[in-house]
Amino acid sequence: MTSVADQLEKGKKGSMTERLYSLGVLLSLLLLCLIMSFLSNRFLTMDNLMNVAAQAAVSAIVSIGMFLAILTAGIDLSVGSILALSTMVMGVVGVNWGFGPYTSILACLATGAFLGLCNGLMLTQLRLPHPFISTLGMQKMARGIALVITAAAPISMFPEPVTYLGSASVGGIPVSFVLVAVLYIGMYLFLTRTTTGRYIYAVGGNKEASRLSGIRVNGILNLVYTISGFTAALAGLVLAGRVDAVYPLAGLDYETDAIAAVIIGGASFFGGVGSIGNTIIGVLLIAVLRNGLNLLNVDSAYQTFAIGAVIIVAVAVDVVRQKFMVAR
Amino acid sequence: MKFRHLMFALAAAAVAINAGSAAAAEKPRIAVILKTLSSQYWKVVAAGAQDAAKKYDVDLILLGPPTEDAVEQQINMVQDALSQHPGALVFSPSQPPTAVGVLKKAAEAKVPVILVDTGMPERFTDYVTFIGTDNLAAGKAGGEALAKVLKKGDKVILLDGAPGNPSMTDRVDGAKEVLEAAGIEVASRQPAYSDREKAFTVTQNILQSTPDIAGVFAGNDEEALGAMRALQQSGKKVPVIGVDANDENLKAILSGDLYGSIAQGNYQMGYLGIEKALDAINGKPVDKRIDSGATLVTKENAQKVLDDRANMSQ
Repeated sequence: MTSVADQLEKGKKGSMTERLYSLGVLLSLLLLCLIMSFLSNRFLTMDNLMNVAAQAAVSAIVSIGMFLAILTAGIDLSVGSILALSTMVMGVVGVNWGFGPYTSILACLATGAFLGLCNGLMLTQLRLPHPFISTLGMQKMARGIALVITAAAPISMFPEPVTYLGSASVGGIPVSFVLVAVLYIGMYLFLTRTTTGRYIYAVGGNKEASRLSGIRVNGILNLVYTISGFTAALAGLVLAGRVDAVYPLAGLDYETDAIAAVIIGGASFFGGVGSIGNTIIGVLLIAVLRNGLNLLNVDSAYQTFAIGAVIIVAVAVDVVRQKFMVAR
Repeated sequence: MKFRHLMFALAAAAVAINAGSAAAAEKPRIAVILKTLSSQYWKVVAAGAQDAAKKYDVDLILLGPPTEDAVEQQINMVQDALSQHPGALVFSPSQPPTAVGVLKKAAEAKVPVILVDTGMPERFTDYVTFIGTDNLAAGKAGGEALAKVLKKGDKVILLDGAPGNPSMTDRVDGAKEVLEAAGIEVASRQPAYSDREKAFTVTQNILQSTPDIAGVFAGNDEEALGAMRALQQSGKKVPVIGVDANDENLKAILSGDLYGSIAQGNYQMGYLGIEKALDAINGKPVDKRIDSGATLVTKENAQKVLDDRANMSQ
């Protein structure tokens, strides 16, 4: 068992083995890019790289919340459904009811945060045994409501402010990419420079010890799931801008891609270990793999297979790393 | 630090090599993005496109997500295909309203768009042509086939799709028109949500109130199989017709359990898609709406359709 002090320390700097792993993930991404650039003459073009950046944005934002949930030894299976329901609410408020674009954006983000908070409360107040259960329930409930809310019809024709984040670009750089950069840097600073941020690591490392040392564990968990709901809704806003529509099947299975990205990024399922910087590399690894295989005209069934294989390899590396850490 | 230099050198080399190879190929390049490549229906569309690409010596990009509901992944595939500067795009949108943005990008890049199977919402008109089944005509073909084996005054069931599914509604409307013109009575028209189990329940319920049913037209093959089972359980043997000509239905047709199915021209969608894309590239005029046809499959030709399909998927 690691002590709370250790955890707090780790949040600050990251241990030697963790830094080694970070380097490994980064090198894998660069290697993949290198291979793709040899195989396809379109890969290393500015056009395509900006495509990848825009394509990765939705998954990148969802993965922030997922990273926090996994960091606290939990999981959030409801992110895809929360994304769908929040954006459907935005569609109903903004298009069907005719409220302004900013009101509808606010409704979208508030819905996401609220559903996330519900996830947290089911865990901390209703005392469901594991977030796997509470968020699985939320996954089904939110998807059900999203499907029922307009009798499964998509809503489109949003005004510009709504689509801005997902569709605009400034000087050739997608705004969504800038948003991702800002969110990741912000989250990095939050996790490493604020007390609350380091408490999240501590709670993930050892809940009981954290509680005994006076950390309000329930408050932290509620916060984590609220953030996860919020980031899912924000990702939905970007997606709605990208495709200029909201539809009830949006975000289907996005939780699996987000979990994959976080795990490839080296976060431990046992909590307390992982860095947000590696998560974005995990996201990019998956995005580059998909994009590259598309450019190479490879059947998407093999893409699905390849991502599965990458997860297994990444976790196998993680297991070896764990052994190494124990042996030290 | 040396390592970093090596990486840069390799990357630079990659760019150089690729710049050389880019100039080599001058075949017309056509991107085909379908709803998925993982179902029988779409594999046949893909086979049509591949055959046409072979015949006309086209550099074919063929992509589709693992499932029809992976909407964003399909949009990404269109983007990835567009970044390879194809001469034309053949596309079947999984969720039409979500594809408006990416098709606008195609228009900006002056890539002509050929829609197959599924059209775009009415407000979007920036495409060359839409090649798909005329569902009303497909329904009429099914109605005619039923009318031939039934007589005046017979009662039939019509199984619709989910309320608001336009292609299913058109099919059932078409069948209804022909059947009523032939003096056949529509005992009940009910939504069965394109689903086998729901069609089973709906048919069972109708048989309670109207036991003397003489035939069934179902908007798709799944519904036809559901209706067939309900009829079998109540010991009835009446003609049932569906739409799609799925393998399972063709086998049921051969064994005499189903009367027939309307085959959509999905091979034609892929094949014509490439032909019309080439026309668009070469500046030839193309009709804005092309019917890919619908043919009745019964016991006489079901085996041939199955055989053709087996040859195609090789």
